[in-house]
Parts: sequence; C-alpha cells; structure tokens
Amino acid sequence: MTSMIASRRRRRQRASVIQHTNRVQHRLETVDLCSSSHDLPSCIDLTCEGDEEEIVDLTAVNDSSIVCLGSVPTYLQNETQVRERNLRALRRHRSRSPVNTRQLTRRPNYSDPLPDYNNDIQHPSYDLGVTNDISGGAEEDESPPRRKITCPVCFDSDTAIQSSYRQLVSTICGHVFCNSCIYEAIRSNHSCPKCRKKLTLRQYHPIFL
Amino acid sequence: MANIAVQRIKREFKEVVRSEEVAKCAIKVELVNDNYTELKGEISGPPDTPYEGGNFVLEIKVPETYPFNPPKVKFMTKIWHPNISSVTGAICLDILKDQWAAAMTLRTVLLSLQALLSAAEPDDPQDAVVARQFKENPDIFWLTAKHWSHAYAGAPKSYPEFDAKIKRLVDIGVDEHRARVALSSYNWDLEKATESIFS
Repeated sequence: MTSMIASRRRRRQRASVIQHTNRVQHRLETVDLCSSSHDLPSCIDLTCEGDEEEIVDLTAVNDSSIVCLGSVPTYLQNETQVRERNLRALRRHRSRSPVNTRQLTRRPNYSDPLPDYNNDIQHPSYDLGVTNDISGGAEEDESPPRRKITCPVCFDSDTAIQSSYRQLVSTICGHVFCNSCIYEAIRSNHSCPKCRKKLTLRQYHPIFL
Repeated sequence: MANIAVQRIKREFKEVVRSEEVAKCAIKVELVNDNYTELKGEISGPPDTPYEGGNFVLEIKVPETYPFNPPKVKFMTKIWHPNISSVTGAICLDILKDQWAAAMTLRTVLLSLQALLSAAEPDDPQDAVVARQFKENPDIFWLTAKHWSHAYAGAPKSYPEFDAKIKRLVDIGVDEHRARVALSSYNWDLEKATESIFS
C-alpha cells in the first residue's frame, strides 16, 4: 500500500514536471514537447487506475496539457479545430473540476495561430513592387491575366531582368527588386527603397517565381 | 547621364502621363531639355487651402545618380508657405533630402509637395518669417498665402485691402514684388513695411 502511494506520488510529481515544461518551454522548443508526449500512455494509465477525486483531477489537468502538446507542432490547424479536440479529450476523461475549465480557457493562449512574424515588421501598406500599370519593355504574352512584376527602382519587368542576366531578389522586409538595383540602393542609402527599413548587403536573397 | 537615370525618367514620364492625377489636372510634368536632366513640374493648389485654384510651377533637376539620390526640386512660382522660401523657392521636405527612397518617383514627389501645401510644418521651417506668421497670426497667414496665390499662381482674387496697400507703395515708386514681400513680412502693417523698405 505504501509503495503504491509512493509510486502515485512519483507519478504525480512527474506529471507536474511535464505540465511545468509544457508551460515554460511551449513556445520555444517544439521538438522537446513532441518527445515528451512519449510519456503519454503512462499518464493515461494513471487516470484509469485512480478513482479518487484528487488523482482524477491531476490527470485531467495533465492530460489536457498533453492534448495541447500534440496540437502544438501542427500549426496548420486552425484554432477551432484545436479547441474541439481539447474538448473531446476533456469529455473522454469526465473531468468536471474547475481546474480543468480554467486550464481550458487558458488554452487559446497555446493554440494561437502564429502568423506573428508578419506583424513584427511594421511596414506600411506599400505594394511589393508588383505593378500592372507600368510596362517594362516586354509585352504581356500570357493568356491568363497575371500581375507583372517589375523592379520598383529601374522599372524593368521580370522578363527584362532575366534576359539581362539579373535576378529578382527579395529583401528581409519582403520587397522585390532586381539584384543590381537593391545592391546600389543599399550601398547608397543603407535602407529598403520601398519601406526604408535599414538593410545591409546581406539582408536580401534571390527569389524564384 | 547614367543609363538607368534616363531610363527611369522616361518610364516615369509615361507613369505620370497615364496617372489619374493628370486626368484630374492635379499634377503635370514636361520635358525642358532632350537629355532628361531637367524637367518642369506643375501642381495645382489643393482644395481647402489658401493655394486652391493656383498652379505652381516647379523646377526639377535630375542628378546623375538618380534614382539613388533625390531629384533637386524648387518652386519657380512664388509662394507664401512656411516650408518654402519666399525668396528662392527652395523646399524643406524630408523626402527630397535624407528620407528619399529609390522607389519614389516624380509622381510621388509631386503628390508629396501637394500634400505639403495642405499640411505645413512650421516647426521645421524653410522661411522663418512665414513660419512665425503661420503660428502667431494664422488668419493673416491664410490671407497672405491666398494673396500670393492670386498674384503669382493665378488663383482667384481674395482680399482687396492688400491690393490697395501694395498700390500705395507702388505709387511711391516701390517695385510691386518688393512691396508685397515687405507688407507680407510685417503682417500688412503699411507703416512698418514702408519703414523697412526705406531704411
């Protein structure tokens, strides 16, 4: 009996550790989180064994975090899907304690969609050098109407750029130029010709369309 | 002139001509010489400003290093504005200096100048006299700017009292423009203006 209590306690400790790592490292180390989900079967076992209110409570909290772990790497899922899954898991274990609901309401925190990198570069709503009003030498020959890509500095179209052995490049702020223009622009002004973000010569790369 | 500069100007020319602003007669660009180094711009005074109804001519000089350096732009039409010299027509506008970006065009420059006419920056003045009047006597500034727009940019007539004062000075042999500058600078105080001219 004592050994059983001891093992329960150990499990409980481990569960709380998992829960802890889940909270702390959640956003930083996705790989870690995935690997920790190997502990999942043992945790579920614990739930099945325990009849006491206290233990069910703990597991449910733990389990709901695991559901979250599983959902984390798949950022492609939208928030409602994740939430539905969490709810299903919750019902499966018949957990009704207020702790669980609290855990659940905290969940959207984890399952936030992550398009954040679009927001932290605050550029004004310039277009990406994609214009359709300036003809860049070459005529449009494609039948489907396609927006012409031109370098906003020399106004050459992508076809003109390619035929003169230049390349379309994108800056880290997402603006598209030909390589010779962005090189010249960064050398003379050290900033993006579109949004004036400070740039160095290493902060652009070719793009292949 | 560098090949890229000429090519850019040629293409920008097309852009301006095709733009809807031209259709609305808000901006205009003309060639001055054949090698695209000098251009003549024109903007109309924006509505609800003392410049409304006027047409302001600009001199645009395209540097060799264009578009990596800004074009040199100044007002040929005399104008009463805190950020534009009433003497030389020099413009104080960040995008024509350190805030220039290579993706800007003649069209965006002209539109920015038009915006400058509707929103002066008296705290970063080009003409200190105008800027002080703008801040201390906004009503007189408005009337003066309107008067200048009529006198030099073809805007409709505004305040006959100013014309009468100028005529008084012209009658005693003062050049009309000089009289206008003196009166404008002294908030249309005839005595002070006369004093400044003859001192």
